[in-house]
Amino acid sequence: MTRSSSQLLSVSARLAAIGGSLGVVAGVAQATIGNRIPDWTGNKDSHVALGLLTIALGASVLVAARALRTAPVPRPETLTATTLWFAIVAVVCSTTVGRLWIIPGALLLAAAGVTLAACGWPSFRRVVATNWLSGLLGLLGALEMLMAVSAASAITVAAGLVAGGMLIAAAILSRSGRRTMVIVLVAATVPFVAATWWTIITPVLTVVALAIGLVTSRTVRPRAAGRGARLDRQSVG
Amino acid sequence: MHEPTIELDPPGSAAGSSDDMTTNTPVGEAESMTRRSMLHRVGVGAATVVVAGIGLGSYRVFDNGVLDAGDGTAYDAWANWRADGTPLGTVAAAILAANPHNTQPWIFHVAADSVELFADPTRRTGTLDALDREHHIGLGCALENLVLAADARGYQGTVTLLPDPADPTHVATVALTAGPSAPSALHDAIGDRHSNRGPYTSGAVPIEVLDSLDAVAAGLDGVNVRWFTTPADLAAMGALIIDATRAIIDDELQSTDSFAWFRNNRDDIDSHMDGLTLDAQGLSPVVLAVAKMLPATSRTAGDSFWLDQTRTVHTATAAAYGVITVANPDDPALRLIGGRLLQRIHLAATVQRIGLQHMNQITERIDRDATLAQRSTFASEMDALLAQPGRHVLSTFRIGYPVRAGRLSPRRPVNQVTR
Repeated sequence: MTRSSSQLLSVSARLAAIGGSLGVVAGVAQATIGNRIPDWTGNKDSHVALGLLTIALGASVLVAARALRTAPVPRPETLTATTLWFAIVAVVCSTTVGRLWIIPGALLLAAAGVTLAACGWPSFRRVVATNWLSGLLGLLGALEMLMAVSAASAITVAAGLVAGGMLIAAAILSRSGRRTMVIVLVAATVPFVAATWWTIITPVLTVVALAIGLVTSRTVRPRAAGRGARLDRQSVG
Repeated sequence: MHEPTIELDPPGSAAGSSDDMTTNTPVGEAESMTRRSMLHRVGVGAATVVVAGIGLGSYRVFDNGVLDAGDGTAYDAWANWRADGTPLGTVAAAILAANPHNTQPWIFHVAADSVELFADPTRRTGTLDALDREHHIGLGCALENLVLAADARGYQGTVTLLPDPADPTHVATVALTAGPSAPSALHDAIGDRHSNRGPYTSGAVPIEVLDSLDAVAAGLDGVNVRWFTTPADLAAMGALIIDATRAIIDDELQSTDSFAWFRNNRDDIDSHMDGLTLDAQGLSPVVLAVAKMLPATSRTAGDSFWLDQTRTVHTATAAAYGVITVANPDDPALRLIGGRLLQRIHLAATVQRIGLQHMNQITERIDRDATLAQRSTFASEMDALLAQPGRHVLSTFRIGYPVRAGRLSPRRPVNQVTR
């Protein structure tokens, strides 16, 4: 890592730390007095839940910022994930705490941009392309969680959160082999699908997640991102 | 044995094009890899498109309340209506009454010994209810719930209709005096009563059940219910309702005034806490979910759907029609009493697990024709169907054993309707 990259990461970590801290404050304000200052907090129906979500996401940014500052030499995968996470939190929380997110959101987007600069566009692009299907699987898990949190039944919420979390875990652990992947995906998604089959979207999501999970578990992965991998021919396809 | 190896960028990587590929394998195998790489890219692209589609659908599920129908602040009134034993608690029951297009056209003034019921003139449906017939009937329904709730809370409720001749919006005073607590089956059904716009089974409603619904009219003077149960009567009434529905759709003003009270998305429901919703249309779970995920329908598309539902579901599966009749449907007092009877019948039907849907298309056209000073075929045809000289239709509904339970409609909370 070059000196300029280190400096960029230092700037990114500071931006993220300030943005994350302000985000946590915004979340606390939404959870406690959000219904009393609706013009500032977006006049949300579920201000407590959205405040708690914002606090959690803000805290996750703080953790990531600290990791950026303390990690000796961050890998391209780490920098790519951090870039995306900062951007995702910046976008998601713009829908949770109204105007209170303007400053934290701007800081996080800036942090994402600086982290991307430190990572370098070619590395970022290569890591994203290499992990694209796993990313889609993780995205499906996040979508499952998004649907789950809107459910009226606590059991359905729990089933959906578990299902979404397991899909994300499956995306991360997609090296663990086809059988494990199938077991994880089926176990993760069946209860939520059983409770919500009539939406059509959850069964479709499950089928697609299963297909992507099987493919990612079969796909040969590179030994190191950013370089061509030396692969055994029999394991391809 | 050691297998030959190939060097390649990982599938799907930006550097994984055939140009970048280096290999120590024969040319045919390289071409195979190129095809495989191409197929892989196509597959990844297709998966991306599919996941993007799922993303859109998932967001609609989240945003439009597909998984939380009947939950949230807009529906809290259905869960909390028994909690308050004071006069204010009677209002909590009153606001759950049936009312036209869920406009909730009421305002309450609550004191320690009385509850005053006022009409809210800002909550009219315009040309759809041209003579305020449904407006008053809805207030009568609320009045009935209020009286039942007063009885259950240990108050003797004495009703005075239209107590102030100088103020036509002051529709009733309910004086509350201490009395024995008198909970009733009708009172207990208040939180379970919903208009059921879904299909009904082919089972007929037995005559003794209709008699029991008749019996609730005791003490309400000047109003009656006439039942239509024979196949010929059902067909005639169904045809008239379909014709009236078509006439409303063809009348752009009526159609527009009706559409103004349709809440097409969850944000509108949470914001207004009134109006008709997709949830309350009696659709199957799958159709309802798809309808909520699709973009909002236009007025004309909604009208077509309504006509289709009226023809293929509402009239096609009605086990019987009930018609509330009065001597003078323009008399506000009779409208209020008729509303009380309508609410009682709906509650009694709820107790017996019978579905009920208010079907006011005929009277909406009768009143619209009256305001336009045009001869109404609907008035004469309805009088002919009633065959009760001196009595006229006040409101119409269908009943039957429902295929699926009715769903909750949003309600404004008590603090928004009390002054």
